[in-house]
Amino acid sequence: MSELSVDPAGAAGGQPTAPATVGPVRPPVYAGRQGLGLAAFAVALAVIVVLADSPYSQGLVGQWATLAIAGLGFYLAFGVGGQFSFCQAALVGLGAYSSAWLTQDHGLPFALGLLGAVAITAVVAAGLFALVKRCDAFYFAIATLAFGFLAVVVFREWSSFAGPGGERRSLPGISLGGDELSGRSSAAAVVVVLLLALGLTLLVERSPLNREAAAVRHLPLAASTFGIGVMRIRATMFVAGAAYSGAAGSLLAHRNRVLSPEAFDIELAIDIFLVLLFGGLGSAWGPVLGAAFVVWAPEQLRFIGRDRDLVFGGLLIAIMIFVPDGLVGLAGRVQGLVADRRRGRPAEPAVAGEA
Amino acid sequence: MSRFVLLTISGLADGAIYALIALGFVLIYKATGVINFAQGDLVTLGAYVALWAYQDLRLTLATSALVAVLALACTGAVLERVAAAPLRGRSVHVVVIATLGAALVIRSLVIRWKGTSPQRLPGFFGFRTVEVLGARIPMQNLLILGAAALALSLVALLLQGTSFGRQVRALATDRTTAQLMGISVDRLSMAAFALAAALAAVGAVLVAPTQQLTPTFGFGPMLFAFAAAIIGGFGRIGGVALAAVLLGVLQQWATGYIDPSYREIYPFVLMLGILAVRPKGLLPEQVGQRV
Amino acid sequence: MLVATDVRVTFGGVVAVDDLSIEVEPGVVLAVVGPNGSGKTTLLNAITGLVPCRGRVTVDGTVLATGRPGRARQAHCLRTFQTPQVIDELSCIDNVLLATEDREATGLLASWVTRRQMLAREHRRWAAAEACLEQFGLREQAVLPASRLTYGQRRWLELARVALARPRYLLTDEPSAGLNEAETVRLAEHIAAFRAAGVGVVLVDHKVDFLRRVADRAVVLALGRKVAEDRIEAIWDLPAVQDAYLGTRRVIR
Repeated sequence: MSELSVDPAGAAGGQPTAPATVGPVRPPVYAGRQGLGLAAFAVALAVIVVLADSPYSQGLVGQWATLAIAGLGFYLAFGVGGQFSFCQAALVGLGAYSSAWLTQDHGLPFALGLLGAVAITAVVAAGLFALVKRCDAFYFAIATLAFGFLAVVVFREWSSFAGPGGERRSLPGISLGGDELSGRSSAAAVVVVLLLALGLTLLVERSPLNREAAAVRHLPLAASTFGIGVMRIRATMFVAGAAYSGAAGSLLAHRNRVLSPEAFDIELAIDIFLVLLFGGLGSAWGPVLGAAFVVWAPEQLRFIGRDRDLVFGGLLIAIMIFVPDGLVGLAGRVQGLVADRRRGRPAEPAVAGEA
Repeated sequence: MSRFVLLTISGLADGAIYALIALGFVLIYKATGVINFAQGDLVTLGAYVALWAYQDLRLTLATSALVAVLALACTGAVLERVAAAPLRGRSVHVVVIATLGAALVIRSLVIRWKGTSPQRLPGFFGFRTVEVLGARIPMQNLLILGAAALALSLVALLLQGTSFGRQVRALATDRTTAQLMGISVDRLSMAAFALAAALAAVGAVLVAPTQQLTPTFGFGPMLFAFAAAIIGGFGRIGGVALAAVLLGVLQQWATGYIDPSYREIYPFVLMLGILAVRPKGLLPEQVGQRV
Repeated sequence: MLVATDVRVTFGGVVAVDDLSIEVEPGVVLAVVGPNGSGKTTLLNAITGLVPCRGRVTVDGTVLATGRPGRARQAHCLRTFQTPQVIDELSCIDNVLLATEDREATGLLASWVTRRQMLAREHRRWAAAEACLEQFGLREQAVLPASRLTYGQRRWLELARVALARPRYLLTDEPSAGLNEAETVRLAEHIAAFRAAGVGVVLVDHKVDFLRRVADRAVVLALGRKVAEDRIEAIWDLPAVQDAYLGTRRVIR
């Protein structure tokens, strides 16, 4: 390559871009001060938990944290992995019932129930992914939607696992070392799990996975020519997202102490979806913010009440119409997912070329 | 033997309903390239409108059905204007999300209107049965089969023989060229949505008498219709209808001979199994035929 | 040597590539020319496994499984595309790092558990990628998002990424498209550099002067078939090529 002469100003052949301060530059994985951000966030959360005096506010904090964890799971599967899936709610349910089954039926302590829920959900998700991995984005979405529906039926009918008719009552609460936590400590426990989940997600964003996943999202065909394992990354993100959902489910089960199958149907799926819609697909902080909105807004706007669906449904439509790529960038991201299905051409026009 | 006949005919009837619903969103897909996730809730709405016409307006069942069909046709057009037209030209999934939002809106409006407690829409023949090959078949099932077959044939005729149908097929094959040739996408889109909603209403009044009517009543059949559409190949009406009917029959057989409590999941297990080996469905759209 | 024998690609009823055979030795640039629709891009797709095909592809004696893009990469066959495949939201160096050979410690485990090992490897990969960016004059843009690049710079970025992968064979699809004259000269130098480094290059392009400058041999395609093959200087005199480029005069009665 000795014939090349490096000419900083004109080598690119175009106008030189604003020169960055080059020098000893650190690899991308070091970039960003997320550690500080996370620490600051943890402090803020500690303050909130301390201030949460009433069961009502503690309940709200717990609800928000649980939904945020589920949202982070969806973020991993969809925001990072690029797979638009409808099964997150069902996976939360699977985590909830698994944890209930392990603790109530088998007497395991909460911590093992939580871990068991994570493991079971991850395994089932891996199995589901194996079935539908070769599907295009649209069929993948429908297949996961069907799985969600299927799961609720299974929860209702499989009594030895999910209880009679899927109803479980008097579940043990969150416990630490044999002592059951209540009220504020219980909410604090959920918050701790959220911080852990958030931290892990931030670590993923600060790793080679981040760029490879971006390639898988935007240019899967080209990515495969670079040697990136497209299917491997999608599977990893899908299963990791499922693990998060399982954890959220377990927390949900042991905070609410009752379970019924309807809690995990399409409405929860849409809630999780709204979490990402409001919070943004851009980073792991998105679900944290989005969950706050989804949990807080109905509380503040009491007049919505039973019309919650009406408002959220209308909101979905309005957001899609008026805030195209702005608020969330969802539309732009999703556009990249779907091949031009109507024409049956591959997603990357560069590959199709002119035959 | 009579059990087999009963199961099979029930399955055919179920499949016929799925075919009607699937027909609705396949039509929309062909005409606009959009998947209408509100189709199931349109079915629910159709049943409730018929119930309202029958109970509150004291119309006959037949007239109530007609009212439902007309009301739904208007709803379909409105839905298109609100959720599909403003998003014309945007990516397909954006419209999916919007129609999902519309589904939520429709469902909550139904709940507001009629509450959540189960209701029942009477059938044309009540609970009368007739004997076929040794089995007692509810006459409603036979009505379903007949009406669905009629509706399917009419739609097939519509697509093949009329100007509307030609334009839909043109749009489905090559949208840009069709538009360049002056086909009004707006009008066609509205018409497709209206027709799909009308079909949803037809399916609703046919199937509502056989089960309890609740606000989520249409969602399940829509999912089965999706499964049928995926198995049958999304663009072909004939394939989808066939897949829907087969799915209905297999579902009833499994319910009768394996385990009734899991009735609702058999079609999806089948669908997932098929997708595992043939990710594009059993009869995928051909590459040359751009639908 | 990269040898493709009797490659056949059909889409539905259309035969895009019709029993085509080409071969290219290391250190040689083979131009592929032909009118639009003659199967040039599809041929490249077939060889790098992006579309299923019939026929045989061997790289330095080893048979390459068709229809599997990862295998081509393993055999050090890299491809560039008509539109530079650049991810706007990533930095330039991240874009280059996508094609790294060193994929150790890139998974979930490495992100969460064995982070120190991952970071050590990242440093090494980073250094190699920086060198490639330097080669193509993009070192200053290393940490900038690729969205800030001009079109020409995106092309260099794509080539820098290819360079990181240390290809033995490079299949490049209309790299000069969208480049101005100065950039095209630059491109010729880059391709010549690859050739000098012993890379076998399959170069699909239209620009005659560019091809004359940089290619050794050429094949001419029409309707998916090879209609001519010759030294680059001689190819332009062939009637088939003139037909394709200039059109023959026909009198319509």
